Amino acid sequence: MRILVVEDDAKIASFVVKGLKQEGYAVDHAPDGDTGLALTSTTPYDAAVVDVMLPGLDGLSLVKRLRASRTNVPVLFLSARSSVQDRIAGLQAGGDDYLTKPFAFAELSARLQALIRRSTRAPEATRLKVGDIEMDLVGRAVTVSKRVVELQPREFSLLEYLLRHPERAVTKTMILEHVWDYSFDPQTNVVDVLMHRLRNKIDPEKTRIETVRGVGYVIHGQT
Amino acid sequence: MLAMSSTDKLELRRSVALRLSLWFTVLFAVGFTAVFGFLYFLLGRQLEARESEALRLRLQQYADIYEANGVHGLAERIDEDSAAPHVRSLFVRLISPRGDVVWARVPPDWIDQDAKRVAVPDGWGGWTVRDIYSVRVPRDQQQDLAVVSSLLSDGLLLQVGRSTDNRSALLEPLRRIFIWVGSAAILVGFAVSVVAARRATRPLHQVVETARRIIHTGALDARVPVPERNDDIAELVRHFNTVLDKNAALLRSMREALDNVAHDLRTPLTSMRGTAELALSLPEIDKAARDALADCVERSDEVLRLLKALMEISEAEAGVLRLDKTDADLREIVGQATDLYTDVAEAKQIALQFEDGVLLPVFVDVVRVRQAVANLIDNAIKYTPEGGKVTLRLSEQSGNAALEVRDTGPGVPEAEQPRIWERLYRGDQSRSQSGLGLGLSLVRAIVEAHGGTAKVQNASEGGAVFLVRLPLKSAGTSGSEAL
Repeated sequence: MRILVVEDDAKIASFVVKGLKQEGYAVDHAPDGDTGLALTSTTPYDAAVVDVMLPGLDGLSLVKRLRASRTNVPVLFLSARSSVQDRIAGLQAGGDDYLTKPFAFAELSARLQALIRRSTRAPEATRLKVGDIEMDLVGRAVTVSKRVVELQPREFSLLEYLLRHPERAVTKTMILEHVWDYSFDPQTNVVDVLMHRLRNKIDPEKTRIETVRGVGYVIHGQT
Repeated sequence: MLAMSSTDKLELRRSVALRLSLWFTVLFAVGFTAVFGFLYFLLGRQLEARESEALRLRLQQYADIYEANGVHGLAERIDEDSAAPHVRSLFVRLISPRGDVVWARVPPDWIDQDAKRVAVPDGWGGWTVRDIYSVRVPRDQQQDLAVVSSLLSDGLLLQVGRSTDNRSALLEPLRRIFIWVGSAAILVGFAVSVVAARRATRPLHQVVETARRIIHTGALDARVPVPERNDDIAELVRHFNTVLDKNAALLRSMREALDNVAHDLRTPLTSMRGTAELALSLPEIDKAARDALADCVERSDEVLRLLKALMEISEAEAGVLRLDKTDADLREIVGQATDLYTDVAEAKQIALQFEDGVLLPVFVDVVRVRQAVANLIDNAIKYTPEGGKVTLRLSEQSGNAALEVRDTGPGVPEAEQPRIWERLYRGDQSRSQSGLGLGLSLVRAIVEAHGGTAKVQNASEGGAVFLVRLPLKSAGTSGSEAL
């Protein structure tokens, strides 16, 4: 998997590149739009992370050109602008997803993974299994160590999200967006409360779901 | 539409154009009447003078004839005169010094003598019977009687009278013409002045319209068309447009400045946060370093959250907050926000109830309004002790959608009620609950950006009641856009 990162801010580029390399991707970095465009013409990428505001050729124009030349590489936009209009502009330019700065690296990584999965058209799983937790998405049933556990819809949704990202950190923001479909700050920790309830049901010993301070939650297969 | 027509009526009453036209018409009517009245008076006087002059001339002639030819001569002459065409018959009589009628000639169209025998006191204390003749002029409003008299040399009094056309009767057609012409002139004058005044004040209406459009829709590029004539109203319009230009430029630069600040702060914070987050996932880091890095991430999240809220409040207060408005039902928005907090309330053993009522169509930025409602619920849960109750109630209040959030907490002291909406203000400092003290400021900023209001009061049974009003779609600001 080769990923192109087009980002002018050296510090952000550095941690994105480093993080993606840690996750096992091959990463190329372009500090401006023109370099990015040149790289795409010579290398086939599996995905691109593109900052909207770039010196020279800006992110939106870069992606428009890519689309015009029938390059279907999935593109994740990064932007400091968070308004709906900016989002729409990004998607209209041909972007596949839009992430607002500041972002957690875990979220960038998860979204990128989703984009790659979508573009490679991996078949949707009907069963998820991590360690001794099994989930039947069709029958909406959950078993932990072969024992059936009754979950409320939101608890189910949270567990499903964790199971889809085994051994990877998911942030509270990501959970909030996925489980409640909200992208705002609810102040009180709504996610903590739900996580607490889910843990009581499937992981009372706190061995399966780990809280990584500053990062989020990780579900482990080996306990 | 109903609301529109009532404002139209109000506008008509307030309209400068109408007031000007009314004043103009009243002044015109008064002036017109005064001029006519003066002419009428003058004409009447002139007619009267001419008539009495003619009669006096006739009296002089008859006196001369009498002196020369006696009563017979006079009678002949009168017959002659009466026979002439277009001469009004004359009443002539001679009266002795004692008051007896010596000779008289009454015109045939006058009603004849009416003899009456009455006793009158004489000079010596007795009564004398006298015949009193009276002559009646035909009772007719059209006619008047003019009499002149002259003392003759033989001591008799010659009286010449003539029925004349009443001046007012003579001038009657003139009066009628005046009433018709006058009313027509006033009507036409009023119509013309309304049109003229409307034309003259049209730029003023456009100024009002433009200002209203900018206030309601935030269309900062709206300008008033400058009138062709270069008068003082055109100058007002030009100045108004200049003020709008400056205002728009100011808001633009403010928005840019806020964008830049946000960008310049977010970028380094993002890289700081990212670097720390990445380092956290390295296996070779020990516990102390891990805690320090986690602190970095958590603090930067806090700063970023604070920054975001501050920016939104500043933008909303400056009127430059970008609102992505869509048609929505407030019930649904409140329902979703309530849903978010069910688990939190349950964990704190607080009964969170949402009594949804009627459909409340609003035209709002759904994400932001949901955030505002969520903040209110969050605040209510935060200040309600375990086992308490938080109740949300929706209703329609005079064209507004009203949301009431009632808790069973300690309430808000009266002195603090206006201050809780201030940025970074947190009620009783001893209750060190987590939160940034921006939640309620954001609520008010969002609600006011939508043309609504946010209030707080204490319930009589204790606890705080937060009341948010948002304009309903049918009667609200979006109506003007729909037109």
